[in-house]
Amino acid sequence: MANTVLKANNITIVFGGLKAVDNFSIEIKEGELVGLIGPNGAGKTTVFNMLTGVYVPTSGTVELCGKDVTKLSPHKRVEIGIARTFQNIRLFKRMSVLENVKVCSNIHMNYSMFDGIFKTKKYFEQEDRATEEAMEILKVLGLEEYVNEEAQNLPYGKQRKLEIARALASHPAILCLDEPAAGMNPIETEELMETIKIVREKFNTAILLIEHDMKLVMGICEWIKVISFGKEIATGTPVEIRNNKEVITAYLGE
Amino acid sequence: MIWFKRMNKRNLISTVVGVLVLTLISVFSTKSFELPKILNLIFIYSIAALALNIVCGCLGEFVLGHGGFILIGYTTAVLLMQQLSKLFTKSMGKVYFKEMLVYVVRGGELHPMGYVFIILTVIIAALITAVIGFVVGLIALGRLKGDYLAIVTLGISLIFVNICKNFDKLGGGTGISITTTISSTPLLNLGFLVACLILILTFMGSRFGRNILACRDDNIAAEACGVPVNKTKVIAFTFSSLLAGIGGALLAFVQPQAPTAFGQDMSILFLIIIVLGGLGSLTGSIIAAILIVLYENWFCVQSWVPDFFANNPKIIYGIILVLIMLFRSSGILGKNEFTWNWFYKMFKKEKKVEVSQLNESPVFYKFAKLSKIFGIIALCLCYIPLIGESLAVAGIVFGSIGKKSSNETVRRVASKGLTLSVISVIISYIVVDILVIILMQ
Repeated sequence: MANTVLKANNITIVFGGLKAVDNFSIEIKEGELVGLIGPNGAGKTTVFNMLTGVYVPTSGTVELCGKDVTKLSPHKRVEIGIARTFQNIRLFKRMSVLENVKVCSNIHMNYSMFDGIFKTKKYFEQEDRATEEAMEILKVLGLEEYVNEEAQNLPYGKQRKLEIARALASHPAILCLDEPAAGMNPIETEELMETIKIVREKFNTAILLIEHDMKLVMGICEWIKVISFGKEIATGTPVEIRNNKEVITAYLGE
Repeated sequence: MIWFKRMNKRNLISTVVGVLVLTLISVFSTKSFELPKILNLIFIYSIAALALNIVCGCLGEFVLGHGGFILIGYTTAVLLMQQLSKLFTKSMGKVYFKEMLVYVVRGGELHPMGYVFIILTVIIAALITAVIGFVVGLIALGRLKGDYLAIVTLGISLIFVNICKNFDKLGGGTGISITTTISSTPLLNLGFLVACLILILTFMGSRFGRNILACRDDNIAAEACGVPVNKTKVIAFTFSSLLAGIGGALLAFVQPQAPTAFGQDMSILFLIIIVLGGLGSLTGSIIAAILIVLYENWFCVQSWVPDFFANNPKIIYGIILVLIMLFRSSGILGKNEFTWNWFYKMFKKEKKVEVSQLNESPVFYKFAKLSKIFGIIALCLCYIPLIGESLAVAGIVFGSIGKKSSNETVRRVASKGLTLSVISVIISYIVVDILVIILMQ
């Protein structure tokens, strides 16, 4: 029986008078590939923000690898095992590709300031190991030729991949991708589908993705949750969801 | 921002040679009267500029109270000196102490104990400043989310300036001054600058530096990547205060009197320096500091410069700021560093241009080549008064002509010649002036 990696229990968040998300629950197990879909404004990114710690839910709990993280700050959750990408790409623009990826490896390094300043053996060991791992990740994602390029100079599709590469450097148990295919043409989307599958295999992470591109979602997700106006309206396999009347109504209207 | 690579041999040797040259200049500068003061200010201002660049350029937070921290370092150093001198006098007797304290210009030497004294004072003053910086950082950054740092540091520096005004022991209305004179040497200040630079480079090359840069580029993404943003900001600010404390303390041994507007003046001055040099560029801050010190202490007092500048030296800072924002908002070096690679590329041979393939008159190419040759010779001979300057001027003229070419390679050769000539003109003016001063003693 695979372990539960991420569990949200009836999380609700209220902004002012508006209930943005109402009693949302989800349970994701090791290695699963799950989709979260819904019309624009349904609250998908808000759910992500609660799972990753940017918002604290008004009620409900979030558990990561068995630990209650509901009130934990985002950077501490990364240490437990969750990583995310953003809807509008948030790379460290002025740092190189390699440096971008190594930022996320910082959580695995524990050398002190003394080691850093006097460049002890511990420093070189940990930094070299991080560089090796980063290079491996970049290779898998096809970015190794851009290693020393400034992040903002990369073409759009590569920037998206870099964000994923960066998130992987923290060895997450679950990777949350926020609209990874936004702005991509059908060929790039195909490539992305392959990449996501490879990532799941090679890095052994569960993946939760928000997406509007139905081809991608139906094509790779094992099961899907649908959310509309902050409430979940359906859960199931791609086939079930495709034929679910409520889902069709939510997207297309009566 | 510099990406710390294991330096290759040539760059390492160049750096060592550069430092040695500076050391020699510092040691022999004691023969002149003006030169030690200029060198001291260059080294100290560089340290203070680097300190501000860590927070503004590398961390991305705007700070208005930098002068306050320099003043804290300065005042602490002065107070320590007064206390320590009492201690020394008691234990060693007045005669020995007087010997150690008085640094006689033109032939005098600082007693070895004096070096120890200064170094100890500076380190202690810097640590105290760092602790105060840590507390301020916690208040401003650790808990508040937003752009409050600028206001809080401004507030702190105003508070400190006013405390100093109101307590006579800390300076009173006229500003603090030292009763016993002890001056440091350019060599000591150079030593501190080199130490600070090494400290900064190693720190920024470690995971802490990466965290700081990540916070600058994107706070939210950094948080999502496991960077403890608030903690990182406090660390960066404390580090910056440490360096500012070193700068301020060293200044106490060079400039015995601090006027009351010292704190505010310094805050603005160093902001201008780092913007001029390029936010985030370490070598840029140093170059800008050199320019500003030379402007205030050399240019303004030259006989051929109108009195207007001598009386109102600060007026140009406003003009500089406006000009930078209009024409090159990233500063002289932008986000790049001065690298030996760039420097040596100036001398490298360009791919030979086939004169027959030029779809224009070969005159441009000839001028470009001449410009480069003249530029190199001028750089080597810049210490010979007339010859060096005229070669450089010729190099500039030929280079400008060569740049009009339509061929890319020719233009590149011409611009190399131009750069070399301009550098040698600047060096020759300054070097000649300094040599004249030295030889006349």
